[in-house]
Amino acid sequence: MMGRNDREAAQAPSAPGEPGAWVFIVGDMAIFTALFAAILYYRGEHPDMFAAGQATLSQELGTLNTVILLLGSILVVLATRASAAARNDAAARLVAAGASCGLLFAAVKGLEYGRVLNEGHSMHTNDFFMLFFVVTGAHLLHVLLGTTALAAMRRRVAAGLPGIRDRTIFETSACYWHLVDLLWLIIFPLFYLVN
Amino acid sequence: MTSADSSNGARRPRIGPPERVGVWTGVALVALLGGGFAVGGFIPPPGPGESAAEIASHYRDNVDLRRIGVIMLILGGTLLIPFGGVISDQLRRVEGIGATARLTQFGAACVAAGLMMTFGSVLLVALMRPDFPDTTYQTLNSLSFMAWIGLWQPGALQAAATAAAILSDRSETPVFPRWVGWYSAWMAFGSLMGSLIPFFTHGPFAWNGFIGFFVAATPFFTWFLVMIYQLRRNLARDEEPALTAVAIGDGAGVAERRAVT
Repeated sequence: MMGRNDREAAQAPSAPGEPGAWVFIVGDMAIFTALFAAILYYRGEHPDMFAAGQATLSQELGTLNTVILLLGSILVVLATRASAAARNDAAARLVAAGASCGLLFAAVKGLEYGRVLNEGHSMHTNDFFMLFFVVTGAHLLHVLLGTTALAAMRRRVAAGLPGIRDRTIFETSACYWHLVDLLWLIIFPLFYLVN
Repeated sequence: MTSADSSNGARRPRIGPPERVGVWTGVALVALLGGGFAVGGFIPPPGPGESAAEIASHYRDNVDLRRIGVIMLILGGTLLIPFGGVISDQLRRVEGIGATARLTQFGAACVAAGLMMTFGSVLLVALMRPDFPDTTYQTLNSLSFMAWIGLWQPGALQAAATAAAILSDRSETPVFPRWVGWYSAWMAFGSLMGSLIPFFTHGPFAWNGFIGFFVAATPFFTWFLVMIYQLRRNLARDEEPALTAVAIGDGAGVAERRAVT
């Protein structure tokens, strides 16, 4: 018979994925918080420069990348549900599709960087472009890490996550993927919309 | 019978004075590096975009205090070696991994120590001759802080090797809790910020900037604090008398515990 403490432990809400991995995720969020603070500070110092810089960015490409990442997150949510229901082949396909969204995002971002560079702007042009290239570049690095983590999990998901820690590692990869999405949902308005 | 050769099969590492002292070198290391930066007037250090005259005037003020600060930095850097040794000693207890991770961790610690010694000496050369031309100060300052802040690879490698070892631990009673491995991985990944240092002479990403110095220093210093905290716990755990399943509540267990202690 379950004791009171056992029942409470069973009912206690727990973080998805491996608890220790949240140290990494929260740490990453802390660094990005500092980057967002830098954006807000420099935008407050140079509102005209930021408005002019924003006008040169393609809102269409930024919006396209937002849609791609949101789609990636939905696919990963569906993958975790399919995996939990032991629909392993479907889950593996969804994981692959989610990781493909990461590659697609990187391709669009490369296109956008090429366009901005062709217009004669670089991270040395002014504070706006310095922050644009550094912050979106750091985010792109996170997208690629998340993509790699998902791609690395695909086979194990297809096999039904047989290892002791496989499920928590898969959930951790999914959480990291959502973090990447969340960060973009802050970056996108800061560079493309608000000014 | 010593605690190192218990017959119960559990991990009973040998803990001696060098291990205990090694953990305290971590405390001294953090105090000396933090104190050295403060005493030397390097919070933040003279920036890469400052003029030669500005940098020279920085080094010509409070020369002796700055010399003391740099000596503290060199000494703190030297302690990276024994502290790296204690971490390696714990990492070798991780079941199922070879020597690569612990040797890499220790090697990276030694390289980081070498950087602190080498470029600390460069700053001591600058501080030895206040009559040097201003541009000499600018060059020596740039050499030292590019190495100390811009060369993030040894510190990141030390943390990455630690993370790899900790997260590879398959034991039911792992040597380190997994969150320490993830924290180390974050420190290594966060160190990539140092890649921005060569690109900027002004602004938040320069080596004296808000991100390049203050934010980047946070994962670095807190990693040492986390490792000190966890190593102290590990040593305290390893020094406890061996208690096994058979030792709970029966006479044989009590006898074994007496034998072990």
